[in-house]
Amino acid sequence: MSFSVVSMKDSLNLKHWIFGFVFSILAIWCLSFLFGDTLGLHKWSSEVGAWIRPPGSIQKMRSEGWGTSSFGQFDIIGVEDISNIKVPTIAIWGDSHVEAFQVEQEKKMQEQLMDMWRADGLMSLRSIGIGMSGQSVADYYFKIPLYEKICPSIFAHFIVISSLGDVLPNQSSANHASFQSKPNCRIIEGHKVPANWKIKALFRKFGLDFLWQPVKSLLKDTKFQFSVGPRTKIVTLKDTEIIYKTRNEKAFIFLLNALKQQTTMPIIFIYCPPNIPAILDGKVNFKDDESEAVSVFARACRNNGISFINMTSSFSNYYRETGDFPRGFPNSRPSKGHFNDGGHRLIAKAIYMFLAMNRNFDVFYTN
Amino acid sequence: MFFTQIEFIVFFLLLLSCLYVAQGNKSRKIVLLIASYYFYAYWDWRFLCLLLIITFSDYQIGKYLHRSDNSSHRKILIFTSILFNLSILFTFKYCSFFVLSFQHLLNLLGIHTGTLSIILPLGISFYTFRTLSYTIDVYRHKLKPCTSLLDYAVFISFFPTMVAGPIVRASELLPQLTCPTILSWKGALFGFRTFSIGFFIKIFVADRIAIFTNYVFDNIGVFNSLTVWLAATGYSIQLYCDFAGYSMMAIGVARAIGYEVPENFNFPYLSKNISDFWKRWHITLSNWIMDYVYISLGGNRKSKLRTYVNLLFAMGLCGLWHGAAWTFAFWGLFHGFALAFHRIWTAWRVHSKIETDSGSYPFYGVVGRIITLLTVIVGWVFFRADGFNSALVILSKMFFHSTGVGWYHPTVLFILFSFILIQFAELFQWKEYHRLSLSAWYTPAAIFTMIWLCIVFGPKEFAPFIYSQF
Repeated sequence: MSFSVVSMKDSLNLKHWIFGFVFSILAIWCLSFLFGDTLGLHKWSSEVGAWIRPPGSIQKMRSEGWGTSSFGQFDIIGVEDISNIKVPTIAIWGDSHVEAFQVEQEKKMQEQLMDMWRADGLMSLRSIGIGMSGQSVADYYFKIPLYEKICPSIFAHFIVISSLGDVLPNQSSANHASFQSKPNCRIIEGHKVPANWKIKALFRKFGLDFLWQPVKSLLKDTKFQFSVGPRTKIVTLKDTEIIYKTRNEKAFIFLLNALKQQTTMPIIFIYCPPNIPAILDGKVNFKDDESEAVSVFARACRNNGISFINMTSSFSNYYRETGDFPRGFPNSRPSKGHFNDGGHRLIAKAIYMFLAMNRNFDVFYTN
Repeated sequence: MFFTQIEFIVFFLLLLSCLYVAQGNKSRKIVLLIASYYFYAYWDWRFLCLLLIITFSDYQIGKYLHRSDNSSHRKILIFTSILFNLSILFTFKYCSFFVLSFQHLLNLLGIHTGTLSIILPLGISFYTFRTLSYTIDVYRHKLKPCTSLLDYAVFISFFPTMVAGPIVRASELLPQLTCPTILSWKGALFGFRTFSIGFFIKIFVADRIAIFTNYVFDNIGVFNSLTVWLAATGYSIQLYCDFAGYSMMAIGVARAIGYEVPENFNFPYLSKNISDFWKRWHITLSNWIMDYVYISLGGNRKSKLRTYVNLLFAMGLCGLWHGAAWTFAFWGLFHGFALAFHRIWTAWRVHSKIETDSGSYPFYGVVGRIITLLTVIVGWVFFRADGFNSALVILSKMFFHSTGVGWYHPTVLFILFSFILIQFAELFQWKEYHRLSLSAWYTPAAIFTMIWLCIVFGPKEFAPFIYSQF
């Protein structure tokens, strides 16, 4: 009853196993290069006053949608240096939905918007997307003045909110800025260093992006349990419960006034309902649970001279007319997740229509 | 504890070290028994007593059966064993189901049952059948009773096959326990190879497809016919890879510690007919049902009608074994009817002297395989559905044109294509590359690549083994 060395030599052809191991590493490296997401890199930017993605870096997304995004200066995707832009420009702010790693550059909302303008012969207008995963309006509050300084030709700020949580106080903010209402309303800057950015950079440098998640989950997420059962179910904590009451109106007003103080340019909110249209319990849902609070926010916007675009009916009509959802990809779940090409097109069209219909912007159309 | 847990790897390496250190067959078996009990207690230690009760009672019954020459006495003993084991199975697995099923009827009679909340012990269907195989074989004089309680306890609690089979019979495992086994590199490598393939088809194939099929079946009303067909086909692959994956892991683990466990699958979707399917799908269960239920009922030795009744009864039982729901029973009966129909067809063919041998007439082979596959896929709809209404919705979407959302997940399409390719490779015996024999130079490369694929591209959402719920 022992592992004999002789029998090991007989059965274990060491050369085959060494070759096999080396081959498998090469194979997985190639496969992950083709089908794996790249690791997000970060570096501190004193100009923006925040952690940004290094200029020239590339982000590939393969697990949801299929897109390759390249960063220019100041954390802007698809534009080499926004400080060189001299033509009137609109800035589209948002979280990962505006960052839009899931779609190729030409399908992102800012590019589709420019295509619409070009079709109208408006060649001297630009639009840029300023998005970063996890950010909310509290972050834009600090960033708007900075980006206006970098790119003085910005003439309007469109803020895409992918759920009402982006404008509600007291939401979990990870390492980003946050909007707090207790004890009194205030916006707190977030300057925390992105987690593991040095190690990530090292993995990325050697092309070992595919190892990051397994190593991270092994070292950080794995909790060994060797005790006998009964095994208690792991209960995941729910996000902070959002109470959509009219009492948030005061907080909304504070936030909107604070934003207005940061810029003289018009601010337009674009509300994109998270679950409309969406597959829920075997049906396509067209009912927005947030609608009451959304109308409170919309009213607060109106009363404070800020425009508000609600995408609810636009999204619903899109599904009714085409049978497609504005969110989701073939390699993820339909109607869930980030905006697809269609979703980006709808938002681009909404901005296009808003600018075309709004007389305040005529001056730019006559340029 | 499941094979896919990281704790299992630690547990298994520790066990291997202990087995290596342990001197003598007896001490190895003690180590194995402790490990098996820990493996089970990891889920819930309270149900160890159930395992102990079954072990002691059937061990004693086996001994008494051997000692007794009195036919009626022996009958009472075997009846006691069957009744005892089945009543435990019934209590834990089927009691709530029958109470709920007949609740309306009982309410009409003025009996208000309330609701029952009973925990289903892990692997109960598997170890009940394992222990029954022992007492029945001893009763039939096919097996000498086990003389060592230790051996019998190891046989019942043998951890590799504890959770989801294969159903190892006493005649297969007990002789291996009596003679000292050798831990060899070849066994370890074979075990590693088999375990890795099983791990890959469970994690990378089954769990990836599960993301797609679960979403489609949970929202069936929204999707179009083609998507529902893709989901039904995908579920057929998922179920196979989930269960065959577990079986392979169990075989691999057992082999690594020096024990042989029978194969449970043999390319079931290549079956020429439904009878052939049951010789290739969950082989240990179908053999068990055949030997201990169908043959016990008389098999085909009695009238034609009786043969069909036996077939339906055995398959209905097989369906219910899978789960306490009428959809499972219906699934079993559906297969029973298919088997009966195949039997009638074969008899008619022989009677009419129609030659349909697939070797001479490849057309019949192709048609037979397609019909069998379609029958099996339709059967899985009942297996998967939450109820008859849900099953009928799925079937109506499959067989009547239905518009809706189209979702053709690229990974599922790729897996489907690869799966078909492997089936063809097996069907036409293309050099047997796909079998990854241990001596082939490319096997280590394939195995390591499969492990990497699971680590890097395995879904974050782990789907529990489907058969562990039975």
